[in-house]
Amino acid sequence: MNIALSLRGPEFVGLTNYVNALYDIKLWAAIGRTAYITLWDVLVGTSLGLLMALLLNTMLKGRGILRAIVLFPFILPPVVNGLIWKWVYNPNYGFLNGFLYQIGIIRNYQSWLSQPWTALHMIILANLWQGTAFAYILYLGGLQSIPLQVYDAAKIDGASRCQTLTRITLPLLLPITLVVVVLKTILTFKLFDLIYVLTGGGPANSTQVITYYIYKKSFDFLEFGGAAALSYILTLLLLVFVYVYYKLLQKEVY
Amino acid sequence: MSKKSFRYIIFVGVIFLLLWTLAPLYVVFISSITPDKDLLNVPPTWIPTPDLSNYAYALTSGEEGGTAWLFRKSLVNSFIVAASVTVFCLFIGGLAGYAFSRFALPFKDKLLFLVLFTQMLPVITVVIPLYLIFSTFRMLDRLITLVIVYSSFTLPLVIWLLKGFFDTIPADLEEAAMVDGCTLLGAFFRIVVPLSIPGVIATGGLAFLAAWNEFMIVLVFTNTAASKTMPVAIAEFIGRFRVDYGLMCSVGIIASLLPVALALVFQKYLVQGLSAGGVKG
Repeated sequence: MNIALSLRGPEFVGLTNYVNALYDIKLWAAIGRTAYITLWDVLVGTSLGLLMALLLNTMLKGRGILRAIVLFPFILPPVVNGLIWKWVYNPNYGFLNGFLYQIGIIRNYQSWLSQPWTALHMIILANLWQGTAFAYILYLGGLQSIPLQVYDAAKIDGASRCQTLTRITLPLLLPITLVVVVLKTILTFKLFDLIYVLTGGGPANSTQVITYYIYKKSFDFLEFGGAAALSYILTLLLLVFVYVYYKLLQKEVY
Repeated sequence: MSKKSFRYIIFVGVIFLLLWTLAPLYVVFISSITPDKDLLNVPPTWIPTPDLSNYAYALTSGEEGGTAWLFRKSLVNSFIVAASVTVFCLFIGGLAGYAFSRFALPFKDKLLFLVLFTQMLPVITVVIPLYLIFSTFRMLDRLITLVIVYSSFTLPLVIWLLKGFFDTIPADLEEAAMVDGCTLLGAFFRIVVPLSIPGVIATGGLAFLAAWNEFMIVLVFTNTAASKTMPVAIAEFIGRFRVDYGLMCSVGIIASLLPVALALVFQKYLVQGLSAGGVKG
Protein backbone atom coordinates (compact mmCIF):
# COMPACT_ATOMS: atom_id res chain seq x y z
CA MET A 1 0.00 0.00 0.00
CA ASN A 2 2.74 2.43 0.99
CA ILE A 3 4.87 1.36 -1.93
CA ALA A 4 2.09 2.02 -4.41
CA LEU A 5 1.49 5.40 -2.87
CA SER A 6 5.11 6.44 -3.01
CA LEU A 7 5.65 5.18 -6.57
CA ARG A 8 2.80 7.24 -7.87
CA GLY A 9 3.91 10.23 -5.86
CA PRO A 10 1.62 13.01 -4.80
CA GLU A 11 -0.15 14.94 -7.47
CA PHE A 12 -1.52 18.44 -7.03
CA VAL A 13 -5.29 18.40 -7.29
CA GLY A 14 -6.22 21.82 -6.00
CA LEU A 15 -9.50 21.85 -4.14
CA THR A 16 -10.88 18.77 -5.90
CA ASN A 17 -11.07 16.77 -2.68
CA TYR A 18 -13.03 19.51 -0.96
CA VAL A 19 -15.42 19.96 -3.87
CA ASN A 20 -15.96 16.21 -3.97
CA ALA A 21 -16.67 16.24 -0.25
CA LEU A 22 -19.38 18.86 -0.69
CA TYR A 23 -21.16 16.61 -3.19
CA ASP A 24 -20.61 13.49 -1.08
CA ILE A 25 -24.04 12.33 0.06
CA LYS A 26 -22.50 9.77 2.40
CA LEU A 27 -20.64 12.55 4.19
CA TRP A 28 -23.78 14.56 4.79
CA ALA A 29 -25.63 11.45 5.89
CA ALA A 30 -22.81 10.67 8.33
CA ILE A 31 -22.85 14.21 9.71
CA GLY A 32 -26.62 14.08 10.09
CA ARG A 33 -26.41 10.74 11.89
CA THR A 34 -23.71 12.04 14.21
CA ALA A 35 -25.82 15.10 14.94
CA TYR A 36 -28.80 12.85 15.71
CA ILE A 37 -26.77 10.75 18.17
CA THR A 38 -25.44 13.97 19.68
CA LEU A 39 -28.94 15.33 20.11
CA TRP A 40 -29.92 12.29 22.18
CA ASP A 41 -26.72 12.45 24.13
CA VAL A 42 -27.14 16.14 24.88
CA LEU A 43 -30.83 15.99 25.80
CA VAL A 44 -31.01 12.71 27.71
CA GLY A 45 -27.39 12.42 28.80
CA THR A 46 -27.28 15.92 30.24
CA SER A 47 -30.54 15.48 32.14
CA LEU A 48 -29.49 12.11 33.50
CA GLY A 49 -26.13 13.53 34.51
CA LEU A 50 -27.86 16.38 36.32
CA LEU A 51 -30.14 13.98 38.18
CA MET A 52 -27.16 11.81 39.14
CA ALA A 53 -25.24 14.82 40.43
CA LEU A 54 -28.22 16.09 42.46
CA LEU A 55 -28.70 12.62 43.90
CA LEU A 56 -25.07 12.03 44.78
CA ASN A 57 -24.60 15.50 46.19
CA THR A 58 -27.09 14.77 48.97
CA MET A 59 -25.92 13.22 52.18
CA LEU A 60 -26.50 9.52 52.00
CA LYS A 61 -24.92 6.34 53.23
CA GLY A 62 -22.25 4.88 50.96
CA ARG A 63 -22.00 8.04 48.88
CA GLY A 64 -18.29 7.54 48.25
CA ILE A 65 -18.75 4.08 46.78
CA LEU A 66 -21.77 5.20 44.72
CA ARG A 67 -19.73 8.07 43.30
CA ALA A 68 -17.06 5.59 42.27
CA ILE A 69 -19.55 3.15 40.73
CA VAL A 70 -21.19 5.74 38.47
CA LEU A 71 -17.75 6.49 37.03
CA PHE A 72 -17.29 2.92 35.77
CA PRO A 73 -18.95 3.28 32.34
CA PHE A 74 -16.99 6.43 31.62
CA ILE A 75 -13.55 5.16 32.54
CA LEU A 76 -13.79 1.62 31.16
CA PRO A 77 -12.05 1.15 27.83
CA PRO A 78 -14.64 2.07 25.15
CA VAL A 79 -13.78 -1.18 23.40
CA VAL A 80 -14.80 -3.06 26.54
CA ASN A 81 -18.05 -1.07 26.56
CA GLY A 82 -18.53 -2.29 23.00
CA LEU A 83 -17.91 -5.85 24.19
CA ILE A 84 -20.42 -5.45 27.02
CA TRP A 85 -23.18 -4.17 24.74
CA LYS A 86 -22.34 -6.63 21.98
CA TRP A 87 -23.07 -9.40 24.46
CA VAL A 88 -26.16 -7.70 25.93
CA TYR A 89 -27.59 -7.19 22.41
CA ASN A 90 -26.62 -10.65 21.18
CA PRO A 91 -29.43 -11.89 18.90
CA ASN A 92 -29.38 -15.50 20.06
CA TYR A 93 -28.28 -15.53 23.69
CA GLY A 94 -28.29 -11.87 24.72
CA PHE A 95 -29.69 -10.66 28.02
CA LEU A 96 -31.69 -7.81 26.49
CA ASN A 97 -33.60 -10.36 24.46
CA GLY A 98 -33.84 -12.68 27.44
CA PHE A 99 -35.14 -9.95 29.73
CA LEU A 100 -37.69 -8.53 27.29
CA TYR A 101 -38.83 -12.06 26.48
CA GLN A 102 -39.23 -13.03 30.12
CA ILE A 103 -41.29 -9.99 31.03
CA GLY A 104 -43.39 -10.56 27.92
CA ILE A 105 -42.58 -7.48 25.83
CA ILE A 106 -41.24 -9.43 22.85
CA ARG A 107 -42.36 -12.85 21.67
CA ASN A 108 -39.31 -13.63 19.57
CA TYR A 109 -35.66 -12.83 20.01
CA GLN A 110 -34.67 -9.81 17.94
CA SER A 111 -31.38 -9.16 16.23
CA TRP A 112 -31.03 -5.60 17.39
CA LEU A 113 -27.91 -4.71 15.50
CA SER A 114 -28.96 -5.95 12.09
CA GLN A 115 -31.90 -3.65 11.44
CA PRO A 116 -31.01 -0.05 10.60
CA TRP A 117 -33.38 1.73 12.98
CA THR A 118 -32.80 -0.44 16.04
CA ALA A 119 -29.06 -0.58 15.37
CA LEU A 120 -28.78 3.20 15.43
CA HIS A 121 -30.82 3.48 18.61
CA MET A 122 -28.96 0.68 20.34
CA ILE A 123 -25.76 2.61 19.60
CA ILE A 124 -27.40 5.68 21.11
CA LEU A 125 -28.30 3.72 24.24
CA ALA A 126 -24.78 2.32 24.63
CA ASN A 127 -23.31 5.77 24.05
CA LEU A 128 -25.63 7.26 26.67
CA TRP A 129 -24.57 4.64 29.16
CA GLN A 130 -20.93 5.39 28.46
CA GLY A 131 -21.13 9.19 28.48
CA THR A 132 -23.62 10.13 31.18
CA ALA A 133 -20.99 10.14 33.91
CA PHE A 134 -19.21 12.98 32.15
CA ALA A 135 -22.16 15.33 32.57
CA TYR A 136 -22.49 14.07 36.14
CA ILE A 137 -18.87 14.93 36.90
CA LEU A 138 -19.18 18.48 35.60
CA TYR A 139 -22.48 19.03 37.40
CA LEU A 140 -21.13 17.65 40.66
CA GLY A 141 -18.28 20.16 40.42
CA GLY A 142 -20.84 22.88 39.75
CA LEU A 143 -22.98 21.87 42.72
CA GLN A 144 -20.02 21.77 45.06
CA SER A 145 -19.01 25.27 44.05
CA ILE A 146 -22.34 26.77 45.14
CA PRO A 147 -21.65 28.35 48.55
CA LEU A 148 -23.58 26.79 51.40
CA GLN A 149 -24.57 30.22 52.75
CA VAL A 150 -26.92 30.61 49.80
CA TYR A 151 -28.84 27.55 50.97
CA ASP A 152 -28.80 28.68 54.58
CA ALA A 153 -30.24 32.03 53.55
CA ALA A 154 -32.98 30.29 51.56
CA LYS A 155 -33.80 28.08 54.54
CA ILE A 156 -34.10 31.08 56.85
CA ASP A 157 -36.43 32.71 54.34
CA GLY A 158 -38.58 29.59 54.52
CA ALA A 159 -37.95 28.14 51.06
CA SER A 160 -39.09 24.54 50.58
CA ARG A 161 -36.88 21.87 49.07
CA CYS A 162 -38.60 22.23 45.69
CA GLN A 163 -38.25 25.99 45.72
CA THR A 164 -34.58 25.76 46.65
CA LEU A 165 -34.04 23.42 43.72
CA THR A 166 -35.92 25.40 41.07
CA ARG A 167 -35.12 28.93 42.28
CA ILE A 168 -31.52 28.54 43.43
CA THR A 169 -29.76 25.37 42.39
CA LEU A 170 -30.93 25.08 38.78
CA PRO A 171 -30.42 28.75 37.84
CA LEU A 172 -26.94 28.64 39.35
CA LEU A 173 -26.18 25.56 37.26
CA LEU A 174 -27.17 27.23 34.01
CA PRO A 175 -23.68 28.42 33.01
CA ILE A 176 -22.22 24.97 33.63
CA THR A 177 -25.03 23.46 31.57
CA LEU A 178 -23.77 25.39 28.55
CA VAL A 179 -20.30 23.96 29.10
CA VAL A 180 -21.74 20.46 29.47
CA VAL A 181 -23.70 20.75 26.24
CA VAL A 182 -20.73 22.02 24.23
CA LEU A 183 -18.30 19.46 25.63
CA LYS A 184 -20.76 16.60 25.17
CA THR A 185 -21.25 17.65 21.56
CA ILE A 186 -17.51 17.66 20.95
CA LEU A 187 -17.19 14.31 22.70
CA THR A 188 -19.98 12.65 20.73
CA PHE A 189 -18.50 13.83 17.44
CA LYS A 190 -15.46 11.75 18.39
CA LEU A 191 -17.53 8.57 18.77
CA PHE A 192 -15.68 5.72 17.05
CA ASP A 193 -14.74 2.74 19.22
CA LEU A 194 -18.32 1.71 20.03
CA ILE A 195 -19.31 1.85 16.38
CA TYR A 196 -16.26 -0.14 15.35
CA VAL A 197 -16.96 -2.93 17.81
CA LEU A 198 -20.76 -3.03 17.69
CA THR A 199 -21.78 -2.49 14.08
CA GLY A 200 -18.85 -1.49 11.89
CA GLY A 201 -21.03 1.30 10.54
CA GLY A 202 -23.70 -1.10 9.31
CA PRO A 203 -26.27 -2.35 8.58
CA ALA A 204 -26.56 -0.48 5.28
CA ASN A 205 -24.45 2.38 6.68
CA SER A 206 -27.17 3.13 9.22
CA THR A 207 -24.65 3.69 12.02
CA GLN A 208 -21.83 5.19 10.00
CA VAL A 209 -20.84 8.30 11.91
CA ILE A 210 -18.43 10.91 10.64
CA THR A 211 -15.26 9.59 12.30
CA TYR A 212 -16.01 6.09 11.12
CA TYR A 213 -16.61 7.31 7.57
CA ILE A 214 -13.25 9.10 7.53
CA TYR A 215 -11.58 6.01 8.97
CA LYS A 216 -13.06 3.78 6.28
CA LYS A 217 -12.17 6.21 3.54
CA SER A 218 -8.55 6.30 4.65
CA PHE A 219 -7.78 2.77 5.70
CA ASP A 220 -10.30 0.62 3.81
CA PHE A 221 -10.49 2.54 0.55
CA LEU A 222 -7.05 4.17 0.91
CA GLU A 223 -8.32 7.53 -0.30
CA PHE A 224 -5.96 9.50 1.91
CA GLY A 225 -6.51 12.78 0.05
CA GLY A 226 -10.28 12.64 0.24
CA ALA A 227 -10.15 11.54 3.87
CA ALA A 228 -7.78 14.36 4.77
CA ALA A 229 -10.21 16.85 3.23
CA LEU A 230 -13.00 15.36 5.35
CA SER A 231 -10.79 15.64 8.42
CA TYR A 232 -10.39 19.35 7.78
CA ILE A 233 -14.12 19.77 7.33
CA LEU A 234 -14.73 17.96 10.63
CA THR A 235 -12.11 20.11 12.34
CA LEU A 236 -13.73 23.31 11.08
CA LEU A 237 -17.10 22.06 12.23
CA LEU A 238 -15.78 21.38 15.71
CA LEU A 239 -13.87 24.64 15.75
CA VAL A 240 -17.21 26.38 16.00
CA PHE A 241 -18.01 24.48 19.19
CA VAL A 242 -14.53 24.93 20.56
CA TYR A 243 -14.84 28.68 19.98
CA VAL A 244 -18.15 28.78 21.87
CA TYR A 245 -16.53 26.77 24.65
CA TYR A 246 -13.61 29.21 24.76
CA LYS A 247 -15.98 32.16 25.04
CA LEU A 248 -17.87 30.41 27.84
CA LEU A 249 -14.66 29.82 29.76
CA GLN A 250 -13.63 33.44 29.33
CA LYS A 251 -16.82 34.52 31.02
CA GLU A 252 -15.48 32.56 33.96
CA VAL A 253 -18.12 30.05 34.72
CA TYR A 254 -16.49 29.43 38.07
CA MET B 1 -42.14 17.86 50.78
CA SER B 2 -41.82 15.97 54.04
CA LYS B 3 -38.53 14.51 55.12
CA LYS B 4 -39.85 10.98 54.77
CA SER B 5 -41.03 11.31 51.17
CA PHE B 6 -37.77 13.06 50.30
CA ARG B 7 -35.81 10.09 51.60
CA TYR B 8 -38.10 7.76 49.67
CA ILE B 9 -37.37 9.60 46.42
CA ILE B 10 -33.64 9.48 47.10
CA PHE B 11 -33.86 5.76 47.78
CA VAL B 12 -35.70 5.03 44.53
CA GLY B 13 -33.21 7.22 42.68
CA VAL B 14 -30.27 5.28 44.05
CA ILE B 15 -31.86 1.97 43.04
CA PHE B 16 -32.41 3.20 39.47
CA LEU B 17 -28.89 4.58 39.33
CA LEU B 18 -27.40 1.27 40.39
CA LEU B 19 -29.56 -0.69 37.95
CA TRP B 20 -28.68 1.59 35.03
CA THR B 21 -24.96 1.55 35.77
CA LEU B 22 -24.43 -2.00 36.92
CA ALA B 23 -26.90 -4.11 34.93
CA PRO B 24 -24.73 -4.38 31.79
CA LEU B 25 -21.64 -4.99 33.91
CA TYR B 26 -23.47 -7.63 35.94
CA VAL B 27 -24.55 -9.41 32.76
CA VAL B 28 -20.99 -9.63 31.49
CA PHE B 29 -19.67 -10.65 34.88
CA ILE B 30 -22.12 -13.53 35.36
CA SER B 31 -21.53 -14.69 31.79
CA SER B 32 -17.82 -14.80 32.49
CA ILE B 33 -18.37 -17.22 35.39
CA THR B 34 -21.14 -19.29 33.79
CA PRO B 35 -20.13 -22.82 32.79
CA ASP B 36 -20.01 -23.11 29.01
CA LYS B 37 -22.98 -25.49 28.86
CA ASP B 38 -25.29 -22.97 30.57
CA LEU B 39 -24.08 -19.93 28.65
CA LEU B 40 -26.25 -20.50 25.61
CA ASN B 41 -29.48 -21.11 27.53
CA VAL B 42 -32.64 -19.46 26.23
CA PRO B 43 -33.79 -17.53 28.23
CA PRO B 44 -30.42 -16.81 29.83
CA THR B 45 -29.28 -17.89 33.31
CA TRP B 46 -29.36 -14.85 35.60
CA ILE B 47 -27.72 -16.52 38.58
CA PRO B 48 -25.17 -19.12 37.50
CA THR B 49 -23.18 -21.66 39.48
CA PRO B 50 -19.77 -19.98 39.55
CA ASP B 51 -17.11 -21.49 37.35
CA LEU B 52 -13.76 -19.79 36.98
CA SER B 53 -12.43 -21.85 34.10
CA ASN B 54 -12.66 -18.92 31.66
CA TYR B 55 -10.41 -16.83 33.87
CA ALA B 56 -8.00 -19.70 34.36
CA TYR B 57 -7.79 -20.15 30.61
CA ALA B 58 -7.46 -16.44 29.83
CA LEU B 59 -4.75 -15.90 32.42
CA THR B 60 -2.68 -19.05 32.35
CA SER B 61 -3.20 -21.43 29.45
CA GLY B 62 -3.59 -21.45 25.71
CA GLU B 63 -0.81 -22.14 23.21
CA GLU B 64 1.59 -19.42 22.09
CA GLY B 65 -0.08 -17.28 19.44
CA GLY B 66 -3.57 -18.35 20.55
CA THR B 67 -6.34 -16.03 21.75
CA ALA B 68 -5.50 -16.19 25.46
CA TRP B 69 -1.79 -15.79 24.81
CA LEU B 70 -2.38 -12.78 22.54
CA PHE B 71 -4.59 -11.22 25.16
CA ARG B 72 -2.00 -11.62 27.92
CA LYS B 73 0.71 -10.22 25.67
CA SER B 74 -1.50 -7.24 24.80
CA LEU B 75 -2.20 -6.58 28.49
CA VAL B 76 1.53 -6.41 29.18
CA ASN B 77 1.98 -4.07 26.20
CA SER B 78 -0.87 -1.87 27.40
CA PHE B 79 0.66 -1.65 30.83
CA ILE B 80 4.11 -0.77 29.52
CA VAL B 81 2.70 1.90 27.23
CA ALA B 82 0.32 3.41 29.78
CA ALA B 83 2.92 3.48 32.55
CA SER B 84 5.55 5.08 30.29
CA VAL B 85 3.10 7.69 29.05
CA THR B 86 2.07 8.52 32.62
CA VAL B 87 5.62 8.95 33.93
CA PHE B 88 6.79 10.91 30.89
CA CYS B 89 3.76 13.22 30.82
CA LEU B 90 3.83 13.89 34.54
CA PHE B 91 7.50 14.87 34.38
CA ILE B 92 7.34 17.11 31.29
CA GLY B 93 3.81 18.32 32.01
CA GLY B 94 4.75 19.14 35.60
CA LEU B 95 7.57 21.41 34.50
CA ALA B 96 5.48 23.00 31.74
CA GLY B 97 2.49 23.43 34.03
CA TYR B 98 4.71 25.08 36.61
CA ALA B 99 6.03 27.49 33.99
CA PHE B 100 2.50 28.35 32.89
CA SER B 101 1.46 28.81 36.49
CA ARG B 102 4.32 31.00 37.77
CA PHE B 103 6.05 32.84 34.96
CA ALA B 104 4.96 35.67 32.72
CA LEU B 105 5.25 34.12 29.27
CA PRO B 106 4.51 35.89 26.02
CA PHE B 107 1.14 34.82 24.53
CA LYS B 108 0.46 32.78 27.66
CA ASP B 109 -3.33 32.79 27.34
CA LYS B 110 -3.25 32.01 23.64
CA LEU B 111 -0.77 29.19 24.23
CA LEU B 112 -2.91 27.75 27.00
CA PHE B 113 -5.92 27.79 24.73
CA LEU B 114 -3.95 26.14 21.95
CA VAL B 115 -3.04 23.45 24.42
CA LEU B 116 -6.71 22.99 25.19
CA PHE B 117 -7.73 23.06 21.56
CA THR B 118 -5.56 20.08 20.60
CA GLN B 119 -7.47 18.19 23.26
CA MET B 120 -10.76 18.80 21.47
CA LEU B 121 -9.87 17.40 18.07
CA PRO B 122 -11.01 13.91 17.18
CA VAL B 123 -8.03 11.58 16.84
CA ILE B 124 -9.13 10.58 13.34
CA THR B 125 -8.23 14.03 12.02
CA VAL B 126 -4.56 13.48 12.84
CA VAL B 127 -4.31 9.75 12.22
CA ILE B 128 -3.52 10.06 8.51
CA PRO B 129 -0.59 12.50 8.81
CA LEU B 130 0.79 10.64 11.83
CA TYR B 131 0.51 7.37 9.97
CA LEU B 132 2.38 8.75 6.97
CA ILE B 133 5.09 10.30 9.15
CA PHE B 134 5.75 7.20 11.21
CA SER B 135 5.64 4.96 8.18
CA THR B 136 8.34 7.13 6.55
CA PHE B 137 10.55 6.54 9.57
CA ARG B 138 9.62 2.84 9.59
CA MET B 139 8.35 3.19 13.13
CA LEU B 140 4.91 1.70 12.77
CA ASP B 141 4.11 -1.33 14.87
CA ARG B 142 6.41 -0.39 17.75
CA LEU B 143 5.55 0.30 21.38
CA ILE B 144 7.79 3.36 21.54
CA THR B 145 5.74 4.93 18.73
CA LEU B 146 2.57 4.43 20.75
CA VAL B 147 4.22 6.04 23.77
CA ILE B 148 5.26 9.05 21.66
CA VAL B 149 1.85 9.51 20.04
CA TYR B 150 -0.15 9.02 23.24
CA SER B 151 2.12 11.41 25.09
CA SER B 152 1.52 14.04 22.46
CA PHE B 153 -2.23 13.60 22.98
CA THR B 154 -2.14 13.48 26.76
CA LEU B 155 0.49 16.09 27.51
CA PRO B 156 -1.83 19.07 26.80
CA LEU B 157 -4.38 17.81 29.33
CA VAL B 158 -1.64 17.11 31.86
CA ILE B 159 -0.16 20.60 31.48
CA TRP B 160 -3.59 22.18 31.75
CA LEU B 161 -4.55 20.22 34.87
CA LEU B 162 -1.25 20.56 36.69
CA LYS B 163 -1.18 24.30 35.98
CA GLY B 164 -4.56 24.52 37.67
CA PHE B 165 -3.36 22.60 40.72
CA PHE B 166 -0.12 24.62 40.99
CA ASP B 167 -2.15 27.82 40.84
CA THR B 168 -3.75 26.89 44.16
CA ILE B 169 -0.40 26.74 45.96
CA PRO B 170 0.76 30.12 47.27
CA ALA B 171 4.01 31.30 45.68
CA ASP B 172 5.19 32.59 49.09
CA LEU B 173 6.15 29.07 50.08
CA GLU B 174 8.64 28.72 47.25
CA GLU B 175 9.95 32.20 47.82
CA ALA B 176 10.62 31.33 51.44
CA ALA B 177 12.41 28.16 50.34
CA MET B 178 14.51 30.09 47.84
CA VAL B 179 15.44 32.67 50.47
CA ASP B 180 16.69 29.72 52.50
CA GLY B 181 18.91 28.71 49.59
CA CYS B 182 16.77 26.40 47.48
CA THR B 183 17.15 26.61 43.71
CA LEU B 184 14.07 27.13 41.56
CA LEU B 185 13.97 23.46 40.58
CA GLY B 186 14.68 22.48 44.18
CA ALA B 187 11.70 24.53 45.33
CA PHE B 188 9.55 22.94 42.65
CA PHE B 189 10.44 19.37 43.56
CA ARG B 190 10.61 19.84 47.34
CA ILE B 191 7.76 22.25 47.95
CA VAL B 192 5.32 22.45 45.06
CA VAL B 193 5.20 18.80 44.00
CA PRO B 194 4.69 17.34 47.50
CA LEU B 195 1.94 19.88 48.16
CA SER B 196 0.09 19.01 44.96
CA ILE B 197 0.16 15.22 45.38
CA PRO B 198 -3.66 14.93 45.04
CA GLY B 199 -3.46 16.84 41.76
CA VAL B 200 -0.59 14.70 40.56
CA ILE B 201 -2.57 11.55 41.39
CA ALA B 202 -5.65 12.83 39.57
CA THR B 203 -3.64 13.85 36.53
CA GLY B 204 -1.54 10.70 36.49
CA GLY B 205 -4.65 8.54 36.80
CA LEU B 206 -6.31 10.26 33.86
CA ALA B 207 -3.14 10.04 31.74
CA PHE B 208 -2.88 6.34 32.52
CA LEU B 209 -6.53 5.71 31.66
CA ALA B 210 -6.27 7.63 28.39
CA ALA B 211 -3.37 5.47 27.25
CA TRP B 212 -4.87 2.27 28.62
CA ASN B 213 -8.14 2.84 26.76
CA GLU B 214 -6.94 4.28 23.44
CA PHE B 215 -8.05 2.32 20.42
CA MET B 216 -7.92 4.12 17.08
CA ILE B 217 -4.19 4.82 16.92
CA VAL B 218 -3.21 1.34 17.96
CA LEU B 219 -5.71 -0.10 15.49
CA VAL B 220 -4.09 1.75 12.60
CA PHE B 221 -0.46 1.67 13.74
CA THR B 222 0.08 -1.93 14.79
CA ASN B 223 -0.21 -5.27 13.11
CA THR B 224 1.76 -7.78 15.17
CA ALA B 225 1.41 -9.15 18.67
CA ALA B 226 4.67 -7.42 19.58
CA SER B 227 2.95 -4.05 19.81
CA LYS B 228 -0.80 -4.63 19.91
CA THR B 229 -2.41 -3.35 23.06
CA MET B 230 -5.42 -4.66 24.95
CA PRO B 231 -8.21 -2.71 23.16
CA VAL B 232 -7.16 -3.93 19.75
CA ALA B 233 -6.73 -7.50 20.98
CA ILE B 234 -10.26 -7.40 22.37
CA ALA B 235 -11.73 -5.85 19.22
CA GLU B 236 -10.12 -8.59 17.13
CA PHE B 237 -11.42 -11.23 19.47
CA ILE B 238 -14.99 -9.91 19.22
CA GLY B 239 -14.69 -9.64 15.45
CA ARG B 240 -14.06 -13.37 15.00
CA PHE B 241 -16.66 -15.36 13.16
CA ARG B 242 -17.04 -17.88 15.95
CA VAL B 243 -16.69 -16.27 19.36
CA ASP B 244 -16.23 -18.03 22.69
CA TYR B 245 -18.64 -15.78 24.60
CA GLY B 246 -17.62 -16.91 28.09
CA LEU B 247 -13.97 -16.24 27.36
CA MET B 248 -14.89 -12.93 25.71
CA CYS B 249 -16.71 -11.79 28.85
CA SER B 250 -13.90 -12.82 31.19
CA VAL B 251 -11.37 -11.00 29.00
CA GLY B 252 -13.54 -7.87 29.17
CA ILE B 253 -13.72 -8.08 32.96
CA ILE B 254 -9.95 -8.54 33.28
CA ALA B 255 -9.32 -5.51 31.08
CA SER B 256 -11.69 -3.45 33.26
CA LEU B 257 -10.08 -4.34 36.58
CA LEU B 258 -7.44 -1.65 36.51
CA PRO B 259 -9.75 1.26 35.57
CA VAL B 260 -12.32 0.07 38.11
CA ALA B 261 -9.66 -0.14 40.82
CA LEU B 262 -8.51 3.38 39.94
CA ALA B 263 -12.10 4.63 40.21
CA LEU B 264 -12.65 2.94 43.58
CA VAL B 265 -9.44 4.19 45.16
CA PHE B 266 -9.05 7.62 43.56
CA GLN B 267 -12.69 8.50 42.82
CA LYS B 268 -12.42 11.91 44.42
CA TYR B 269 -9.22 12.88 42.64
CA LEU B 270 -10.38 11.61 39.26
CA VAL B 271 -13.62 13.56 39.49
CA GLN B 272 -11.63 16.61 40.54
CA GLY B 273 -9.28 16.21 37.59
CA LEU B 274 -12.00 15.59 35.05
CA SER B 275 -14.12 18.50 36.15
CA ALA B 276 -11.08 20.79 36.30
CA GLY B 277 -10.16 19.68 32.78
CA GLY B 278 -13.62 20.66 31.62
CA VAL B 279 -14.37 23.95 33.29
CA LYS B 280 -11.31 25.66 34.64
CA GLY B 281 -10.44 28.69 32.57
